[in-house]
Amino acid sequence: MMQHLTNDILLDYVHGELSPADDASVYAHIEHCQPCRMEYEAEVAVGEMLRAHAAQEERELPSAVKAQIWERVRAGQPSVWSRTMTWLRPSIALPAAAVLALAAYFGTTYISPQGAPSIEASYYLQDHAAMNSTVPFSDRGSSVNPVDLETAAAVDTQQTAVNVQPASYTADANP
Amino acid sequence: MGVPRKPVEPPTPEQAAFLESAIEQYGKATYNFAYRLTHNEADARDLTQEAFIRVYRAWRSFQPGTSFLSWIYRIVTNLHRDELRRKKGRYQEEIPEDNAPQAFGGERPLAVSPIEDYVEGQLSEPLARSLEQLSPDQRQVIVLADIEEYSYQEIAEIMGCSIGTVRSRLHRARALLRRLVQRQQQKQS
Amino acid sequence: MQIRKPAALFAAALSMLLGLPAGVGAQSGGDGTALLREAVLAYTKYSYVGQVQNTDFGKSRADAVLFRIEHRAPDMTRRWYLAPESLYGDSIISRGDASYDIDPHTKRIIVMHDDAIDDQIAMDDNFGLLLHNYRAVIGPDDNVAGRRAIDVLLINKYTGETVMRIAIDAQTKLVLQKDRYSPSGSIAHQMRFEQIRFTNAIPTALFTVPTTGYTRKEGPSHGNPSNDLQAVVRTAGFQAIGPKYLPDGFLPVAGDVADIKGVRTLHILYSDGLRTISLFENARGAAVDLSKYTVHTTKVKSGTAQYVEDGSTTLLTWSSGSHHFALVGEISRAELVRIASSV
Repeated sequence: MMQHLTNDILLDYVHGELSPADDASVYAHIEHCQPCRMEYEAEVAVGEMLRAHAAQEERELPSAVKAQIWERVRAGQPSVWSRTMTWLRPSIALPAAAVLALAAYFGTTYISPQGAPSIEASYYLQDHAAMNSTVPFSDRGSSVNPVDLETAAAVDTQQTAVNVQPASYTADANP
Repeated sequence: MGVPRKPVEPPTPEQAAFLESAIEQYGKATYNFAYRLTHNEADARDLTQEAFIRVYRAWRSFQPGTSFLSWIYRIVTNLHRDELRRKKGRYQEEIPEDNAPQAFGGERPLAVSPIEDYVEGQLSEPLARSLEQLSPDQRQVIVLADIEEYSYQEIAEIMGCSIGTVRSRLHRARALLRRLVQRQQQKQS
Repeated sequence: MQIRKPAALFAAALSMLLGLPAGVGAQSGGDGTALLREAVLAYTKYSYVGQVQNTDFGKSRADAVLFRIEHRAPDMTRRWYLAPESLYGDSIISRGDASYDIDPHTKRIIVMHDDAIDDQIAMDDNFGLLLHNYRAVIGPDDNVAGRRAIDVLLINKYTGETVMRIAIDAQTKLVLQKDRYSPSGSIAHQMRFEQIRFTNAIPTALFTVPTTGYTRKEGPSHGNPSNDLQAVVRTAGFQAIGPKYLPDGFLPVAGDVADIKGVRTLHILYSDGLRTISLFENARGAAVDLSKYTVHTTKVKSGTAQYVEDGSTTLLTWSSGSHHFALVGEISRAELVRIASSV
């Protein structure tokens, strides 16, 4: 069986990153080895497609950006950045404190009424994953992750005695 | 968060000229680079704006004769990374670097009949989707190596890592990209 | 500007990307039901060591977890985490329905029992549900971790969407890779063996839980789910409200009642055999603490609801009077909102 070139070597070859000697031997190899040549051409074409895709998506610098840069330079405002990135657009990522502040802004409160405790979201996420284990090909099993110890410590669950015998459900069972 | 507020100093004519020509020459490239990393116009605008502010502040440290574009790409890359780091909680995917390359054991697929009526648009959507699924580091290395066509050495300088890391990241990223595009295609067909 | 590339080059790339050349197996397009059945049980028959990567693709990022795995059939498994950094060195030993989360940094072991894990009746029922709602179509031959694999696509009978692609080892039928697709068609979650070696030489000593130098703690119990939902709902002790709308093929399959911080919480799991949705409900007005997540708002009926995303999983929470609800699932947010609005 002929030893073929790895895709890693071909990628380095495509990017012109092999030593002259290796470069020459890859060149010679793909001259004679059709499968490797096909693979080489595929890697080249992936690069071409990436560039074609980028060219297709290319856009002009919005004039507002230039104006804002000058505005900031003249005003000497240092950090619009942190405000835009961490405050105005919550979808990107917020430090916990900002989440709380934002929640207040939206009128949400995490302090439950009637003095009831609030329950960590991760408890629900873990419980959801745990009950999945009887569903074939669920993400549990092979993808179970260690529990978040903080959550495990914080949520003190007490299982109530729900001792019901498992009953086989039928496909036309009703909600 | 936040940079300490400095007293406002209007730009000197030199500074202003530097910034003006930098935006003129490299504004579009920087914006496109930022867009390719984030795939989001609002983020790209913010990154570009901030990168040029950093350039303006540090303009004295720029050495004529070196590549301005590499410099500003490095700034954009770092800003982008900082922004991602701010995302608290779980870890950003970092494919381990120590995985030995998998040799092809002579099970190469055979050639197929060329598809004559290939339309560029057919691949654009799967490609765009697949790029979005790469980790930020993987996307960065592909943008730099395959779109901007920088050398591994230059990419290492821009990304602030070793050439070996660039190499293995690129290998992983390209392999994953192909898998992802393939899946997308399979789904469509 | 790019130089126009020769069409042949594109064709080559396209064929690579499409995977066209991979000799389409004789049974390609056939029914994969029998294969699936074997795949579900393969882990009880074969022992192996390997390395697995799980990747959860969120909207703007991908989170990967990498671990080494040693599995001794039928039910002993040790996972040793390599990444992310925060989990590095942690391990989980599972023996039957007990699992031990071992954190060598804090010297703590969390013991957990999951009674559902060996509930074979429930497993069979849910497998029946899967076959009821999905077509299992054999795809082209695949290669995962250097082993020949057979792809099985699970296609939803109602929507025609491919919800999952499973690569099954041709020899042992163990699942080597699993891609769950999001409704938009992108990959939402991937489990993949990076390396695997089947062996019968795995000593049981590997699965010994350390006893000295560690503090043991009982972890959160994930209950004792039952399929007798009426009994479960009665135990809740409050007037439980359920959804009137569920996506096609979904049924309530399990439920339990737990006291979380003293708040009685009803948990009902709905499934179509492959995807799952959990509805949590309490009547004490105990809200969900979302402070560790990025919170978004949406509308459920005419009220405000919050949701957070954890990778490809969405948690939607809202309240109605003194009832608080949390709906968790890997389906689209629009579907979750629709279900929530029908509660």
